[in-house]
Amino acid sequence: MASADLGHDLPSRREALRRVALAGLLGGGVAGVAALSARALDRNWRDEASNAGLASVTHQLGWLKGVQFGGCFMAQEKGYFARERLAVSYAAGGPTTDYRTLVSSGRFLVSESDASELIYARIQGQPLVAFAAVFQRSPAAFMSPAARPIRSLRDMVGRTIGVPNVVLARLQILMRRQRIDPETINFVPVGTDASMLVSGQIDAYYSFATTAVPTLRLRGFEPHVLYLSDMGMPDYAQALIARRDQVENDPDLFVRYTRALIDGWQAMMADPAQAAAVIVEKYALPGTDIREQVIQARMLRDFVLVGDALDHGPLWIAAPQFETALRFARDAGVLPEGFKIDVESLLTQSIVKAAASRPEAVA
Amino acid sequence: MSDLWRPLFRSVTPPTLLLIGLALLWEGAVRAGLTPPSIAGPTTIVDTLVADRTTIWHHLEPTLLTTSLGYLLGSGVAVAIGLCVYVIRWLEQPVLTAATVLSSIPMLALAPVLLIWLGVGMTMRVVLTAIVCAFPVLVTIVQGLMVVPREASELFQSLAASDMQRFRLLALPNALPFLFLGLKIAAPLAVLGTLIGEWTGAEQGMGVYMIAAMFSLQADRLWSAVTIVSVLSALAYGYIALIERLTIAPELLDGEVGR
Repeated sequence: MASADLGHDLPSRREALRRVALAGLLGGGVAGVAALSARALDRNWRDEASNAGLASVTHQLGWLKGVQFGGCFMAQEKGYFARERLAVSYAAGGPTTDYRTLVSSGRFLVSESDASELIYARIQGQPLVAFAAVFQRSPAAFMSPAARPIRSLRDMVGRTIGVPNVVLARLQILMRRQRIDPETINFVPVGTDASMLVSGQIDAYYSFATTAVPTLRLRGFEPHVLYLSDMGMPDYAQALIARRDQVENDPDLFVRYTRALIDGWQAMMADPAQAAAVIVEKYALPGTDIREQVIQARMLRDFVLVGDALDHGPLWIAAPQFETALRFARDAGVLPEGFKIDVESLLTQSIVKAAASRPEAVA
Repeated sequence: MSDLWRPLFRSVTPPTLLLIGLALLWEGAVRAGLTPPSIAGPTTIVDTLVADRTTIWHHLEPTLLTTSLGYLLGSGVAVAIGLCVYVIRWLEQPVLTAATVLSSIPMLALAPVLLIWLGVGMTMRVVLTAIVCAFPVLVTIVQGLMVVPREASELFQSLAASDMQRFRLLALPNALPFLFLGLKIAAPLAVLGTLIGEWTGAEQGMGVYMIAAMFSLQADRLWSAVTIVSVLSALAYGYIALIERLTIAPELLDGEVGR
């Protein structure tokens, strides 16, 4: 009798253990997801509550948050957006973010582009217009080892160059003009990742010098920088873009936003190192390297406060850069036959003019 | 050791020993200078994981949440569709064809489309993860529900079992091993789907941490992120495998499925 009881008890004990273990596993999983969800919801509610009663501006940034967008974060930090009664939210970009389409589709009010890519967007039927430009001179460049520098397009002959396809189309025009056979250069369509240059797999790669140079130098790699503007391809970078209908329907919103950004960029330029410290502490990704950001912040002055910005203040925008980009697009044959596009349809100066004209704009 | 845990121990020990061996070889190669500078050794990775733990947790938290929610949503929808197919048999072919077409779209191509449709918030990343997870679960649940053993089916017929009895006592138990197979395949895919969503644009997440490390030439951080993501995928798989072991009768796990 006793042995029969024992035989009966064993499976039932095992069954009970099994049930407890299963309940524990499932319960633990549910509790974990619930805790994570509660924390995420709490963060969202706090953000929404603090923005009540303000006009909303959503801005899709062209890359991860950092001093590259320093004027935006300094405007937030110094209260310039609050002064303009704006609730501004910034979304970090990534390597596969389609900035222009996100604005065209209405997902974001503002994003960034250079003149050349804005033309490609127009060809695709995107009704976008540029209303301000952060980088008056594009920091887009080819980085090569200082020991084996690439100083011109001709130096690229016989070398392997990492370049995105959209830039390659423009390079091919320059090659045609300089009578360089495209077959003599090995172009590889890599992203803006420096590791291939450092490991010696390529001889140069395309990136913004402002982000690439600090990274490379801090890792003990001295780069030589060949700017696209010095190769005969001047352009803006981080030109602020929006849908034309939205700019026309609510110009005041864009003027207020641009005014706050002008002040933000001036605050940034006044003390780049201090601004970098604030941005790393409060706005950039946790773990962002402060040394890298300080070097980058100091480099930005040569791109933000040059050209027209010296006379009119930061974020000024004018037609000549767009005319050059349009000429390149025509020469490259990227404009479809019969496709009509004029410079005036690509940018509007009215926003930045209105933002810069108020007496308190430039301290 | 109980019968319940012995098979688990047997299945975990050999791969663990293999991984330790590989890690030792890897460390040796790095110390001997046989690897490029973009490869960090295991000890460097462990040091970085410890030193960077606060930052890593900041990024791991949303990745865990997105992976879990996407996995639950994708699996839930797939099981619901599978049950519909069981009830309405002629749906099987159209549903599986549509699912195959959807799953054949590369995730990297799908992400920007979802981004425009759903925005850059967590919803987009959860939906992307759900889409990635749904296919293996759907295929396996449909197969499990439809392919019941002939002898058992005939027995239920001769006993004049009702439709509900056939479903509850025959089709569902038969489908469970298949379903768990799909759920196990989907678990690591959920982590991958979340990472791709984060690469498309996010404020936090292991995908964002990886991109920042990659573009700042921080090999130690990049490899730490790769390690965390690999461990997360393995844990997700292991978690489902454990639930499977506690749910299904051992004889079904030992090869009796679908006979």
